[in-house]
Amino acid sequence: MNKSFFRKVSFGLGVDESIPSNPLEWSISQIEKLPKLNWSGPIYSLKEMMEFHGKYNYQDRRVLRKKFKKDRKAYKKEKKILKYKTGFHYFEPLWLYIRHNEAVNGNSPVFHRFLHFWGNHFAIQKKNAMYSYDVGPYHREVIAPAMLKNIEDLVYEVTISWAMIHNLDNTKSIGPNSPKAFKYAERGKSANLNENHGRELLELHTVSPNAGYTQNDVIDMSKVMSGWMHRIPKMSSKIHKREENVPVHFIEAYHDSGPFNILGKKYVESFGTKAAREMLRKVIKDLVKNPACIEFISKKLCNHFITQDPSGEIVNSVISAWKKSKGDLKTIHSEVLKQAYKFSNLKKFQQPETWLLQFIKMSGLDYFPKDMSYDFETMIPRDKDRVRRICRNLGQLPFRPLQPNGWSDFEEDWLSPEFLFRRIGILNALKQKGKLIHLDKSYLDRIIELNFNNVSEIKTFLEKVNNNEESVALFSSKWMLKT
Amino acid sequence: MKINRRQFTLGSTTLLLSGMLPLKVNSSMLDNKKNLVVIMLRGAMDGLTSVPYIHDNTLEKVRPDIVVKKLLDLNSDFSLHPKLSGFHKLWKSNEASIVHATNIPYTGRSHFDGQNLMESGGTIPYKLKTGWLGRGIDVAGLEGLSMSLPMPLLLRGKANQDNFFPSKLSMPTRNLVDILKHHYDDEPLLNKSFNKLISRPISMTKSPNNKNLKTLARIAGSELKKIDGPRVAVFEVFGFDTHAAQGGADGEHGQKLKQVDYTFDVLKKTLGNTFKNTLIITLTEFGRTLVQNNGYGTEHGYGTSILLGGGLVKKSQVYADWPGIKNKNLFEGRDLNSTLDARSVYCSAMSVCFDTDFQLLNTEVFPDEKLNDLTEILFKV
Repeated sequence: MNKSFFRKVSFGLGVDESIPSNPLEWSISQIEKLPKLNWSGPIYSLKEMMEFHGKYNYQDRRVLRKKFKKDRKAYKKEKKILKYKTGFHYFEPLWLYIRHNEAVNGNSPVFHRFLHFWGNHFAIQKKNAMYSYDVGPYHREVIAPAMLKNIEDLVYEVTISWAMIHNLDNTKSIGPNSPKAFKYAERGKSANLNENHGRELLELHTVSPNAGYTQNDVIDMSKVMSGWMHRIPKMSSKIHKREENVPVHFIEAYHDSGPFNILGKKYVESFGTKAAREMLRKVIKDLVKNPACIEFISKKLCNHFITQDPSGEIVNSVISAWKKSKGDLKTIHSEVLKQAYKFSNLKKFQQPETWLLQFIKMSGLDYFPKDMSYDFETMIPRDKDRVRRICRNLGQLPFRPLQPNGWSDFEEDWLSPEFLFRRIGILNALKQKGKLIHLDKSYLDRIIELNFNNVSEIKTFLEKVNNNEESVALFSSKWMLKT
Repeated sequence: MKINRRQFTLGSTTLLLSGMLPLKVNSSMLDNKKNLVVIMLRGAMDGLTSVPYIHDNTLEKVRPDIVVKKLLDLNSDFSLHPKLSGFHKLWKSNEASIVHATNIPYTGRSHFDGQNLMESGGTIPYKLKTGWLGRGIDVAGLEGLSMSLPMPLLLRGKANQDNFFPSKLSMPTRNLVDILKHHYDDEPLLNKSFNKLISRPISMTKSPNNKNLKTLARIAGSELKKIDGPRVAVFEVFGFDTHAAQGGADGEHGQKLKQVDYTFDVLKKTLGNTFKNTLIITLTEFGRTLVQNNGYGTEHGYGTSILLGGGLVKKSQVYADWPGIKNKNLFEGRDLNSTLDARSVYCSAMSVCFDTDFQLLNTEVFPDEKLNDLTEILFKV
């Protein structure tokens, strides 16, 4: 058995853990049900977050900007207070700590590795402070439960989620052949599609450009998606002061009635709201069955969990499991685990955050704050913001990818002098602050025996190290960087 | 020869510098040192907002809510966005020009494919793993160092690039450094990165405290000005993807153009005499649709404009084979067409700034296409 498996599909083993007798069973059992959160600190739902975010947007745009349009200094001061009141600086560190706590202290770290993968596959790019308010709960409430269903459900639920609809501007799309467009035309105005979401659904979320889709496919995909939107409620509504931070609905008046041609298949919509509403699901059902989608996502899973250049044999096993199970995610994840186990000798350079979590888990670093409560009146204290500082220093703030294609899985994008320095530098800083003092010889030996196969090679390597830098050496070693 | 390339990242803005350090410096070298500054405009800059066509009233008709008013005069056909006032000053002193109705040969309207191609210079997304500027630096026999956490594709070349970004972190003891140096021997990429890391000069341990865009442009300017300083700088400005609230003069697109304008303006002031040997050029993935959408924004399009500034610009001119913006002239009935492969402009710019033969650069950097040599039309040769 290659012990690197525990780092490949999880975050390694902590010193108080023992090596599971059946690693494959150990890992597969974790992806079969939605794990209960280990986190006992404060937590907020997506619904509550939309209220916080909505309040922030409304107060800033409609109240402060108007009230202080001639007094920039007063505006800045009030906006700072508004940020405190709505937890602008608080929620991202909170989400990060919850995410990291589940990875390090939770009962199902393997499930959370997959959640990190899908959260990145369905990335919410840095936009409108979504990283602060919405992305953490979006991962927990939209993606995590759908990971136990079919790929079709996952894609569909993500596609109609508030986070994705807002992130990719679908609310701004109006079907040219929709009742609303006709009304616009009567007034001499034209109504247009917004193709952002339709395009990314094809390009990033399902079939990828390998499917050879055309601009017409993108347009028709956008037409199918038209009508899925968050509308700012009427002034009489209780939630009208939440700006765009209101639930997504299907509004038929904005929906294009087709017909649609997508990747060579014609879709004709029958009459009625139900048929209109169900068209998106119908198309997604076909997209996830498309060979290009199956190959694209299977390969991406292998890239992430096994190695950068997986062989045809590895990828084909996942493709085959996908096809046989008709897209059942538990089966697909299981096959990825089986392949990761079978090919645990293959190396993969880990993303900065994954490496950080492996380091925290294996070293037992004193990392989590005792208390993550917040007064909503002042700046978040430094110790509660440490997780964000470390991630920023490593060059990967997980909830803030700059593009909708998320964080790269490729070594070339991460292996540069500065990225390497950040990892070594952080270890060195922790050592200098005395945070690694507990990592004496016997502690390190235990880490090595639990997590590595080449125990004597590593021990010989560490014997050459002086100045109590053994822990820095171990976690910057090639065996740790490339798992 | 030794090269310095530096980058500082700030929120949505990134700056990179690169250049070469001659072993021995004399005054003729100062005269000959030419600087190339590329400003990457991520999200698709709207060429018709930055440089509107004013020969007829088409734009006013199709963009009733976002058409830009109070424009700055260029010529009888084109005007300039009011937020580009610094650029306009350069125009008036024959130090700025515009290439219009141009784009990289990509019509797919995807940011990711488009940005990949604007940086790689290829025609098939993700096929090339290096950037056109990186390959150009290779052809010119230079080496590079980018000062950023992520290594931008634009600057990737065959030569392993170094990178740097200021932080408070420090390396472990010499003993451990020596051990790790040998330890990474059998991991080529890891080994290369670590060797670059430990060869850093002491100067790279300093970091600027003030990180606003003007400060970064000033740092870039003062570095480019040095005889032994960098020769290439790259800025990145994000946020041109204005599907909504693109707005008129004070809208979101205008605010982004203002950031671009800072760069021209501050570089001009900081570079002083060196500005005469400098070329600043913009790069974006594609333009935006002619017609406004419901969110008072525009969609992904095709043709756009390139802004060029600096003493190496030949004269104030809008260089374009103008396709027109009537319905019949539009690309796929919706976008400003591109009548000039933007890579011809970039290849010509490198030829001038790197003192390297255009044909050689065309063959080595953009091997898939025969590009037009525009060096004599656009630049002082």
